[in-house]
Amino acid sequence: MADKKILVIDDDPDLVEGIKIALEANGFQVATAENGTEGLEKIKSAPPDLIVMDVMMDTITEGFQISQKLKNPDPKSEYKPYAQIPILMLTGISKKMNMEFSPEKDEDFLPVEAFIEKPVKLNALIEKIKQMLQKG
Amino acid sequence: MKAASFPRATAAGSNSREMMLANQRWSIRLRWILLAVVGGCTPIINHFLTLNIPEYPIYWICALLAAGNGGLQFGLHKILSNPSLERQTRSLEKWNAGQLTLDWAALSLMFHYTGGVGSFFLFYFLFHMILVGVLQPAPNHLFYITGMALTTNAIALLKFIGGLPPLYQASFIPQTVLQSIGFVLLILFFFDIVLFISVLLVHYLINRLNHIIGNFRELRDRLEYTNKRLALLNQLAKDTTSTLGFHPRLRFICRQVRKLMNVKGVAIYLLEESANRLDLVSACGLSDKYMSKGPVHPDRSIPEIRSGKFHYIMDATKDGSLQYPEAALKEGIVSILAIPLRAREQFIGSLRLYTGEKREFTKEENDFLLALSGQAAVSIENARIYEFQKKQDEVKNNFIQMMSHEIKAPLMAIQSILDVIKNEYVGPLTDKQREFVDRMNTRIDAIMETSTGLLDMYQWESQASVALKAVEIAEHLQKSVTLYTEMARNKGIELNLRLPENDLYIRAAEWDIDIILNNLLSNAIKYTEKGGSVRLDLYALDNKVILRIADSGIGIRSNDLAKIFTGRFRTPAAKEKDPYGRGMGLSFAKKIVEARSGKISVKSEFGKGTEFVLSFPMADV
Repeated sequence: MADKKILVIDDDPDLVEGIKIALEANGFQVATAENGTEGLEKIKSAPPDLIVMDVMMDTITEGFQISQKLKNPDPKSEYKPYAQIPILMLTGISKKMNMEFSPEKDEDFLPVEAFIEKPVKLNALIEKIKQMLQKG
Repeated sequence: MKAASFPRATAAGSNSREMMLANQRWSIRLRWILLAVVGGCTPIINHFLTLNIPEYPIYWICALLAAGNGGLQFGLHKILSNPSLERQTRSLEKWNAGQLTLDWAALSLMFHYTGGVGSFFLFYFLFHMILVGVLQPAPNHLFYITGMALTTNAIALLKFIGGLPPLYQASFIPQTVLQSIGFVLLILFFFDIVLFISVLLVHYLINRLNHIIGNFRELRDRLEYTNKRLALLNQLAKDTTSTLGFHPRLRFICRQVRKLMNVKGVAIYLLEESANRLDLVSACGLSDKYMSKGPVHPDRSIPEIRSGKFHYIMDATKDGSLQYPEAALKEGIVSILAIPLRAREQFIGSLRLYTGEKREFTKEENDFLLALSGQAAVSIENARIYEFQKKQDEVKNNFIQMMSHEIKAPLMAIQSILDVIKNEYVGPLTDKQREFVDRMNTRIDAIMETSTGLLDMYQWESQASVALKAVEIAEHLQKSVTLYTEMARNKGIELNLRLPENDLYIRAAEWDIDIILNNLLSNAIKYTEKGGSVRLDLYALDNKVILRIADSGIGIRSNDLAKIFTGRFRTPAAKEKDPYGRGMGLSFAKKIVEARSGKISVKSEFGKGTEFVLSFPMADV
């Protein structure tokens, strides 16, 4: 896993730093971004092998919007070359109990490869990332 | 013109144009028929029976009558082409007199030429006269039959005394009889009696019949009308939580009232308390201009209805109660009936009916409107409450979501830093430091568990309505077990799930199993030592779905068993294992189980293990 590059997109600096240190200690290269826009730029300039992204950043559904852009099936989309990069989405709101206005309700239609519900221990997160990279 | 309708004799004096027309048409038709019969039968009878009916006079009388009838028909046609209905009526009346005269002349001649009292056609004459008498409106029929009776009697008597030639020698009545005054008088007597009685009787009966039909029609119309109103009231009453939204419901009320009451326009005003203003929320039959005439103040626009009484304005342009009389004038509104809408003894607005011409509302209509306003007010209030409730639900859901996130996200950030420290990624730790980090981690876990537990409970309890469906329970079990697999593995506990071959379903909300299992599984793992096991068993028994969750954990003393389902109870052993738990999970799980018609029970041996058994009724798929 030494040469694998992970991009972490999240607006919480403590969490980002924690994840970055842990991932680096596990042999990954880590890039970070504070929001979706910065994230997209970094994806274009230095495409990662996997993206860890939070759902709620600048807006409640930013994570969804970014991933929809990336996975846009339109062949003319500018993100077409990056559509295959696996995305691990961190969600803070659980799918429980029929929350009418929750964006998570549509997660079945969302083209991310995996979801993880917060809170998640770092070990579990790293484990999941390794799994996803092996599959890919 | 209703050509097929039964010709009616009218009550005295009311010669409606329609009826006269019908009757005259019938008369003409009958005349043609009878002419054909008489003209046709005479030669046939003469041929087969040697009665020597004088054909020649009969033919020329028939011809005359035919000509006359043709003239009548033509004349009728000409009358109808006159555009003025009034002139038509007057012409018809005159024409009627003409018909009678024609009949009278023709019959009298026939009577004379066929031998008077001894005439073969005596019964035919009677029949004809009765028909005409029946078709004539009163008092014509009386004049006619009196005239006919006098004429025929006179002709008969004149023949007897020799003033007129007898004619028609060959008759089925022997001559001698005809020369007996007694016989002649007898025949005439019966003739007259039958004529008068028949005509008068039938006239009377037809009158009665028409009267009854009229009554019936009126009753039927009223019944239909009342039915429609009741149907509307009924519909409003049923409409409490209908699928119609607030505004569609108001529009519906306006349209229906306008149709049923047959008024120009209907409007509903609702009181906006804070602004002391009546807002026009729905209207029908009014122009946009009128509807946007300006703000309406409840104290200046028909303030009388606040006391709960109807208020009727006969002339909108002149009444002081109205705030915008000029607007009413422009709109063509003449009368207004304002009905207060009261819900729970509060004035909430008004229902207004606008008419284009002066109109008094009957007591019956007022009664209906009173009932309607009650129903409408209730319906409106209900719709408002429902909308408010939906809004509240939305607010609440948003709050829970935000709270949930605002707690979990920062906690995860904190734990991630703690994990980094604990794993010595940022430098070595002393034992004491490690211990503190662990304790903080534990506290954070506890906060997470408690807060999500509380939020879950709040969310679950405050659901307005839940759609229950047949949930496939094994799927949810598997999901939960997967979630706890790692936790169990880390603790060195074996986690097993045994599922049946068939799919089992219970009637619940989608998330119920997840919540219950979350509580029970986390407990089981928490209170079981390393090397222990947690086992889940799902199966069907006696039309019930049974789930057993057994652990080899610390167990519960028998005197504590009863208390574990009450909220916030924790055994000393549990407190030792998890000092920060709140003890709410089990009571919450029990609440959910029982809300889905299930049962939960527990068996335990202190120090050996605990087993929870849940049973649910099986759902039909």
